[in-house]
Amino acid sequence: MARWAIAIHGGAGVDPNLPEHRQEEAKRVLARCLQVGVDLLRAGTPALDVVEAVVRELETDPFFNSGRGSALTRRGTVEMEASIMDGRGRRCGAVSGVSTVKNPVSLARRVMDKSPHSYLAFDGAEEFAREQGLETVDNSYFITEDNVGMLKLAKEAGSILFDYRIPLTGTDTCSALAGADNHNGMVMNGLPISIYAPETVGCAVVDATGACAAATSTGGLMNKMAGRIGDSPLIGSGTYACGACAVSCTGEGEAIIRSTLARDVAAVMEYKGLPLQQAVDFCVRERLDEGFAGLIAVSSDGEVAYGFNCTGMFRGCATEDGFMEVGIWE
Amino acid sequence: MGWALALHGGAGDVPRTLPAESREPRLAALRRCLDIGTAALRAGRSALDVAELVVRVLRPLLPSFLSPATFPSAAGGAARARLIRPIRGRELQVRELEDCPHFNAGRGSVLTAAGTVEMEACVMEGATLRCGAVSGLSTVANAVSLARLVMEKTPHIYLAFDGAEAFAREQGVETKDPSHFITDHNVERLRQAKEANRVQIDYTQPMKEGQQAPPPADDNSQTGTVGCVAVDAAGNLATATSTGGLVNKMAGRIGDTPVVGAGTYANALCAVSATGKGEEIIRHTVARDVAALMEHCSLPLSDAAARVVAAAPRGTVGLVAVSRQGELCMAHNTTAMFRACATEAGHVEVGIWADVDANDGESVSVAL
Repeated sequence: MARWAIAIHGGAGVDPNLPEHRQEEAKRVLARCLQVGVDLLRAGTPALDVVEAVVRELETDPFFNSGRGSALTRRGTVEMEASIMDGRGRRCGAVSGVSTVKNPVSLARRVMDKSPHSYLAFDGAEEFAREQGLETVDNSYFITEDNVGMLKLAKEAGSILFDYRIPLTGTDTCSALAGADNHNGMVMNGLPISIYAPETVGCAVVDATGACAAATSTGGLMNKMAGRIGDSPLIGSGTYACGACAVSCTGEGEAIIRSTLARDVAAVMEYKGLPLQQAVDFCVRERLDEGFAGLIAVSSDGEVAYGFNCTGMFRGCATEDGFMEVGIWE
Repeated sequence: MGWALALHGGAGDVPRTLPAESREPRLAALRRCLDIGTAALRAGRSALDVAELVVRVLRPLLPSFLSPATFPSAAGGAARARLIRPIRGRELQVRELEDCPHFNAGRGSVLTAAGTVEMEACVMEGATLRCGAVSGLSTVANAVSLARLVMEKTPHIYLAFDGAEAFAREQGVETKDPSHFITDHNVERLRQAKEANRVQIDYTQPMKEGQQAPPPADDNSQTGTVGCVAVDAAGNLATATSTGGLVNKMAGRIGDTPVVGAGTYANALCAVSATGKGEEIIRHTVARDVAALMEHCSLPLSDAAARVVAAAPRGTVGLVAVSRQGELCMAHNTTAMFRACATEAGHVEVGIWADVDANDGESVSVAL
């Protein structure tokens, strides 16, 4: 028997000045979602079901808000995307441009299980969701007042803005954003780190049979062009699983796509023979020289690993040996 | 060293009994596109320009690949005859070609189950890893050129559906009414596919008027895809792939073509364009894996490509690849791949089936 292991993330690139109470809240949510996965793994649930269930939790929780409160496109609409991959047989499913489906990761799973294809987008994906009877809500459900305000700011700044969880409270917010100090000079997607925030969530799991699976879900970038597809739904970029490992990435999507980051971690293990953590370190160091991103990974041997080259990554991991960790900073 | 390029017009199960009147025009089209790419490289154009150009030129020829009817052997064939006329030496002015509306036709894309056209494409430049991709286009004449504009003019890599169409209008690229892409021929093909209740693949079997439609011989071929890889004399690598997808695909389906690392990938070592069954190519990250094997296992290009193609189920994958050193590889585990390649040293190859034999067009090797 192999040993199970799980890793989750809630996005990479965290404002170093994130208020203490927000940090604590993030850790509480991560610990809760991690525990959902741990309980399922202890009950013998297959890796694929675990990653879907955990990402659903992360999508549904208001803190990471991949669903309600997703980032808005320039048009003020929500376009969510997600993917899931089963290391056994390298089966995969992905969706983009989803605007009414409550849990995009489950739609990705349906694409994998119930369609002849592996990737559906926009109207076709929505239509398939209805055919499959997935829970849907009106697009306005996902659009929060906070985000309408953030979009306005982003448009004023002329920049692409990651959806951020900074609580927006009236005029304070505008001045807080306008006067936001960029303490360490780090920019993510063209924004000072202090007003950027991660939106993507993901999970990588190996179960007690040694099967690996990964899933990633996102609302994308604030003020993104309508129709923009990021790394999260792209197999090999944001998500990848094979016999050796499972990987989920987050950060600057375009940098992750250029480096086919998730596949490269697996390729370095498979072809170069490096162990998981070394493969992760290699890819973070060698592939992300210009872009900021992070990733979580598990190996079929039951190891967990993570890496990032930015100020922080919301993450958690646990193994069958009883190791459990939830963290934000290095 | 020196420049090199390779192109494909899809891989699949093409019967060796393909009659000469169907075979020859296809070979001529491949030769013609190879000549265009060669002329562009000789003229000092960058690998990226060449890959984009060849795909632009080859893509509209696809209906011809699909249907012999669009290659009239006698009357009405003047335009086609000009199109497939071999070109010589420096006769070609690339700029003229780009401006020639004849090459921007783009008709005859395959139809989704909803009867609509959804085209997709991707370009990638090896040295910088810059890339651009588009999906779900219904009016853009040259999907591959829009992919390049996404790469060069947006902060993003990949735009799809309405957003991509809106971007196309912003950029003022040539568009057509969606009906332009919907021909009697592809409507008929969709009807047949629906009747057979399957996702039919673009297929090259000639069909005569009133003849019973042959059953799709292979679900896995996808000859609606074209691709080109090139390395220029400066050692720059680039790749481009463009497709209309599968007949009777679900609306919204995205294949391997626009997925960086699956159907299209280039880095400092090599450039790859793949074709075949999209879902297999995605899960095997085919294009990226050729590069990964070269990098991590120090395999030469052809060994890396052979290993990747062998790892995928039989009948599902074909690819063309070129390395920075100017090595070329055209590998497929399907019975056929429409393909052609040329090097500065004078090696020229045009082929359809797996092995080179008397029926397989031509294979010309000149003093390497």
